[in-house]
Amino acid sequence: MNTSQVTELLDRAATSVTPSETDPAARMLALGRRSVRRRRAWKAAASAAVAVLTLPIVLAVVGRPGVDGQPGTPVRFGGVSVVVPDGWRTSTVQNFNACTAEPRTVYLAAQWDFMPSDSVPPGGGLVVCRSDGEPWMALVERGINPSLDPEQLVVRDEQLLQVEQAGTLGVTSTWTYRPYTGPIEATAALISGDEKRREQLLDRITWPAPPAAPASGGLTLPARITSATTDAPPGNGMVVATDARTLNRIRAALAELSDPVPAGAACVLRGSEAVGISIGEVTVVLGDENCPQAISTGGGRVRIPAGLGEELLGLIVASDRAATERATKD
Amino acid sequence: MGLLRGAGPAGYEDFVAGRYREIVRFGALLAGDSRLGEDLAQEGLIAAYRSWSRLGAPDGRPEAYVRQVMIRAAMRARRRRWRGEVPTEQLPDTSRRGFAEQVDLSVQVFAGLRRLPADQRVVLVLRFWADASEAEVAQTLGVAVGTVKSRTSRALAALRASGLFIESARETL
Repeated sequence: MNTSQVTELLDRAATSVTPSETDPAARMLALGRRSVRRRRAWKAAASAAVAVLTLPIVLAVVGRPGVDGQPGTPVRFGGVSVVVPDGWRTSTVQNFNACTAEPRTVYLAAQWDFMPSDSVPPGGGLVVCRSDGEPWMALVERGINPSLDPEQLVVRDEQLLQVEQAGTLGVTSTWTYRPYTGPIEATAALISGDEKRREQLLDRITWPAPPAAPASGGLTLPARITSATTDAPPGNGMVVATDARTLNRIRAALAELSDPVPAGAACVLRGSEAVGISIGEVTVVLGDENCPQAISTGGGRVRIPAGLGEELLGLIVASDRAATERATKD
Repeated sequence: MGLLRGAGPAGYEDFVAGRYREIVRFGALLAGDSRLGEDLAQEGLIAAYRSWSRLGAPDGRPEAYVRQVMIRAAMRARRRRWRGEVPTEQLPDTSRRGFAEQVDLSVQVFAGLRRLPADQRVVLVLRFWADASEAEVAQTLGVAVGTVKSRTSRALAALRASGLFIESARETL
């Protein structure tokens, strides 16, 4: 076997493909416009969520359990507290560049650049970041947004954290952590280093307190739902349901959930196995059989029956498909 | 209701009309399925529509952007159940068949691709179809070069075990 055989096979397979769209330009134009309209609606919903979610958040103070006793200097930034390890330094910057981060430094930044242009070598080519693999941390006020299907949702220090590998080009050792139940632009942490070091550094952070679970024991839900948005395979593109029948079924299914998960019994909701649904003011994430629990960003964590996430996803996809057909048919 | 032409951002429709087939083919290889590949292509092109004010510039490189979106979507799909896909459990044992008995080769290639984990499939397509170097693939995916090597090696081993290479070689004799 040689590589030219592989190329030949892939070429043959590729050339056998004929797109089903007979007028792709018109189709993509229609879908593109629809996507822009959705994004505008999404942003409007997100703004409403910020207003609602910001209210119950109470800033934690340095000295909470879990932080006591760690050597270092406490620093507060953007509603987050971190105990800077002895021997490390802090650096306040406007735009954090992960590629040029110095080891043993805690950066405090307003925002971060995914791939700053000054990291790219003159004339292009591979970006080699000296910061890759080195231990450092950055607290950034903007730039890490909540995702509908986060890589992991873990409970840390009573806070639900969205954990994702940053995948920053050239800095593969970086992971991001942000409160999932906080406002859209919540302060987040970027932490670099091996897994053990990242865990140690994460332990030094105290996050804002999460919203309390509702007294009923269920999930906090909006009083009225005007849309339900999720992402769907294969490309995990955004799909949305707006018809009243679908929305009523979704809300009823979520409102029925009333079996709260006791403290300490929360499992890790993984994006590969969970379904995230934005219903206006809050997002609900439902796990599968590996973690049969659901959370609401408005508060609450409950046990769920098997297959509920799949069922609700199916409802939204069907509704979206029907709307798309109506919008694009001649 | 008919769809109006010529009302989109300047150059977008021409780009789609000119490159759609090749972009779908790239998607088909990434997904291991032509229908899912077209879904991936459309997701990339929708993203391009939203960013066309930047991509439509002379140095905008819209196809590179579309491909990057498609790759990321294909990799993300790795972490989700791929509900629309029905993977083939067992490939036909082509190693014991003669060329005359062979079913359409391209169908078998796609079946072989579908059996690969998405991260291996993406690496294979980028290396051997898009002709990217190991370093370029590593940078595109945000992984180490060693990871690219190991994924390539595993993907080739899986395809070798499927017997596709033997049949392909026979056919080209």
